Amino acid sequence: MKITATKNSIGFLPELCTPQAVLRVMVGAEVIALVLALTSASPTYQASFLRFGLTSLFVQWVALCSTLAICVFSKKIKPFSVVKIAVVVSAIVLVFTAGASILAIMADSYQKVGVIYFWDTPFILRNIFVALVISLLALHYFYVHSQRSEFLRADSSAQYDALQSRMRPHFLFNSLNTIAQLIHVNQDKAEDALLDLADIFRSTLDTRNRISLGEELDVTLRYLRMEGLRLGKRRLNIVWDMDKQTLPFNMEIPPLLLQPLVENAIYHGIQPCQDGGTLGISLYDAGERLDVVVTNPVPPQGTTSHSKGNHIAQENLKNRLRLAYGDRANLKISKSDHQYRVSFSIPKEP
Amino acid sequence: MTMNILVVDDEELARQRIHSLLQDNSEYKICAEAENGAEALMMVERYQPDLILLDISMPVMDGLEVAKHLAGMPNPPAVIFTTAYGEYALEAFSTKATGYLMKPIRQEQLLKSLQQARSLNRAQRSKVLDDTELEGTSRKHICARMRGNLELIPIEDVYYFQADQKYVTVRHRSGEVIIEESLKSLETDLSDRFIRIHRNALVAKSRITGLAKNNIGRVQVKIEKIDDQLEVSRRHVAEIRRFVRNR
Repeated sequence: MKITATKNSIGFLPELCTPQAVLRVMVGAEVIALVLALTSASPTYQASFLRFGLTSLFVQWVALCSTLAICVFSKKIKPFSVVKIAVVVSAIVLVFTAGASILAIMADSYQKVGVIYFWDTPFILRNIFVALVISLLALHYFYVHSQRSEFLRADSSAQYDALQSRMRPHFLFNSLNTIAQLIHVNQDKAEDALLDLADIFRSTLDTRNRISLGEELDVTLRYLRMEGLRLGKRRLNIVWDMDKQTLPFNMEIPPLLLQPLVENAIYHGIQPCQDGGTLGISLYDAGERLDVVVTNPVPPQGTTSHSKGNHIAQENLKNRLRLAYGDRANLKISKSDHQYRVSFSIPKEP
Repeated sequence: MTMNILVVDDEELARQRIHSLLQDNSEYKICAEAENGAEALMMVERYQPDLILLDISMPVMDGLEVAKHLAGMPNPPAVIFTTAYGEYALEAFSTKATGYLMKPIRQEQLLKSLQQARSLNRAQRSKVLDDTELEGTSRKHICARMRGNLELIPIEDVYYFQADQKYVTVRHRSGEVIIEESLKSLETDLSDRFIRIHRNALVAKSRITGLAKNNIGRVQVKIEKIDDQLEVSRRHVAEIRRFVRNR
C-alpha cells in the first residue's frame, strides 16, 4: 500500500473498504482459487473446470464476507495491537471458512444422495487449516509491508529534518557574518571556521544510514567550535566527559544522534540565557552499550525562547532510535528546575 | 554632525563587525553597545543615541519587543533591524524609511540604511516606529522609568494594573512602579493574560483566586499572595463571575 494507506488503513492492514480494495481482494481470491484447483487432481478437463468453479465460489465467498466483516468492525479493531488484530482477522476468516464448508457439504450431499448432511469433519478441518495458513501469510505480508513503508517515511522525514536542523538558516547566516568579521581580525581563525562550516554542511548532504561514532563526534566538535565563536567563551561553556582511550570510535551508529541534541541544547538552553551556561556532554562505554548524556541549563521563564522546535527534534530522535535499534535503545528526557537532561543508551552491536 | 549609534547584538563578533565597517567613517560614531534587549533599553535611556542597530533574536528580550518599548518613548532613536534570516515578518519594514539589514552585513547596505535614517527627523522616526507592524509581537515585559533608571518587569510577575488619573500603577511581585501607558493599550496588548474588572483596573487572570464581598456589599477580587483589595465594577461583575466559575 502506498503512504496514503495510513489514513483509512486498519492498524497494519491496508485499506479494505473501498471498491478498488474489494476488486483487489477478488483478484487475490481468484488466484488462490486457481492454485487450489490446480493442486487437486481431476480426471478430465471438464471436471477440472468444474472444480475450479466450485473452488472459486468457495474462496470468493470467504474472501468477500471476511472483507465485509473486517470493514464493519474496522473502527473497533483499529486501536488494537498487532497481535490482537491478527487474531481477530484470522478468526473472522476461519468462521466464514467453516460456514462456507458447511454450505458446501449441504449442497454436495443433497446433489449426490438427496439427503442434506451438515457435517464432514475432515473436510471442514482441511479447509480451516488452509484458510489459516493463507490468512497468516497475508497478514505477515501486510505487516512487513507496513513496517517498511513506515520506515521509509520516517527515514525520509528524518533526513529532511536533519537538513533543516543541522543548517538552521539562522545558524548559517550568523556564522557567515562571524566569519566576515574574523577575516579582519584573525585570518587563521577565519579559515578554520570556514572549513568547519563546509564540513558541517557536507555532513548534511551525507546519505549513508550508518556512520562511525568518530565521524559523528567530529561533526559535533566542529559545530561546537562554530557556536563557540558566535557565542563567545563567556556564554558557551562546554564540559566534556569521555575517555578518549576507551571510547569505541569505530562503532557504527545512525548519523545525527549527537549533533542535533547538542544543537538543541544550545538553541533552547544556552542561547536564551543572559549569561549563557554550561553544556554537558558525556559519552560512556558501558561494555555492551554506549551511554550518551547531554545536559543544558533551563532558561528563566519569560525570556525569549522557542520551545516549539525542541519537541519535534526529540520526537525525531526517538523515532530514529526506535527504527535503528527497536526496543534496545532508550531515550530519557528529564527536567529539573535548573537542568534539562537528555540521555540515551544504544547497543554496540547494531 | 556625527550620528550616535547604539549597536545591539548578542554576538560579540557581530558587534565588532559593525565597528569595523564604520571605523573609517567620521559621520557615524558608535556610542554604546548592548548584548540583549533589556540592556539596549538601558543604553538608550543613558546615551540617547540617534540610531540603533538592533539584532532580532537575543536572550532576555528580543529586538521586536525592544522596538515596541522604544515606540512608547518620547524621543525614540531611529531603528534598523539586523537579522540573520527572515524568520519574522520583516517585509513590512522594507517599505518603511527605517529598514533592516540581512547578515552577513554589507558595508554599502549599512551606509545606505544609515543615510536614509539620517534624513529623518525625530518626529518622523517616532511615526515610523508607530507605523511598523509590531501589533503581532507579544510583550513579555513592562518597561518603567524610575528616577532616570529603567526597570523591566516580566509580565508574569505582574499582579494587576490600576489607573489613577494620568498614571498607571503596576503592582508586581517585588513592589510597585508607575508607568505612563494607558490602561487601554495595555488591555489590547495583554488581553490573553489580563482581564478588566473595573474602569481603572486590569488583573492577571492567573492571579485571581476568587471573589468576595466587602462590608458594604461591593464585589472584590481576591488576588493570590497579596491582600490588596480590588473592586469589581457593576458593569464587569457578571463577566468576572463567569470567568471565575468557568476556570
